[in-house]
Amino acid sequence: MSIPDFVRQVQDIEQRLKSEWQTVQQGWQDSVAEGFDSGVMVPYMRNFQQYVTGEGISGYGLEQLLQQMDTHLQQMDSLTN
Amino acid sequence: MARSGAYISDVHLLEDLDKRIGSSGEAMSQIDANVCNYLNEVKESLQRQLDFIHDRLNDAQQRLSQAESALSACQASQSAASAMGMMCPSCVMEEQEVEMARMEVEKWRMRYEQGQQIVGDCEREIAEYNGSDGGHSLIRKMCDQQTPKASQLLHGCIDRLQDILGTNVGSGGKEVETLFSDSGQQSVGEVKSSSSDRRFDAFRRSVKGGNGDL
Repeated sequence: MSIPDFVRQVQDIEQRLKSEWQTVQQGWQDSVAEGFDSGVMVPYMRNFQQYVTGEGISGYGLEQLLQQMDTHLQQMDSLTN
Repeated sequence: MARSGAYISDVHLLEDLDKRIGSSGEAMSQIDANVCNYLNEVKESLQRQLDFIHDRLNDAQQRLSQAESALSACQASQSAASAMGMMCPSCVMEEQEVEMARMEVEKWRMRYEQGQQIVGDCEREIAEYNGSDGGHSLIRKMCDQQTPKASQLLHGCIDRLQDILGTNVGSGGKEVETLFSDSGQQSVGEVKSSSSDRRFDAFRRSVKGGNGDL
């Protein structure tokens, strides 16, 4: 699996979940949906962003971590050639 | 347009959302495993390459040692020849060999130090990712705690809605009209009662009240 695939997979999962939730909201836009949105879905969905971007967590997010690994591999390759 | 009510279709939508959350949790768990495998593979690959560089450094040091021995032997021959008043052999080739071997050792020593730095950086970054505040912990929290919690809350919503609707939705019931309307006006097919209102209000409060926050 190539490096961007990991990030793309996470974003796909996030997008599908977001789409599913939007469908629920469109059919049920009242205070119940709002309560569930702010209490459950928003914090749950925020995790996907944090995981990819690294915002609010220690170290790199997935995207930059994988880029770093790629850089390390390239640098090491240049040392062995 | 916003509406306040409960439809059987709402229950189906929530059930679909519940399935999506469940499958998202499973997919994220799989991604976590794949990312961990990938990071381990990167670490192993870098370590293999560092070992390769270390081997080259050892080879270069061995060649330097041999070249220095050859130069020493040559210089000893020069001394002996000089003592006997004979023509001294040249040690230029041996000196060049030593110089080249030293440069080679220096080259691989520098590469080895750079390689060690790369492996160190990589291990530090992976350790941060695997640490208690890193990405791995976040994704595990999502998979092990938040997904079941969200699912549990959704099941609560679904159960209460089914209770309010008084219908076994799982059996594929037909969508019904609004049960509870803010306007207070009943439409055709509408079912409304004060006890149902109270149950729906309780349901609304339980979700809105933040009891179910992740």
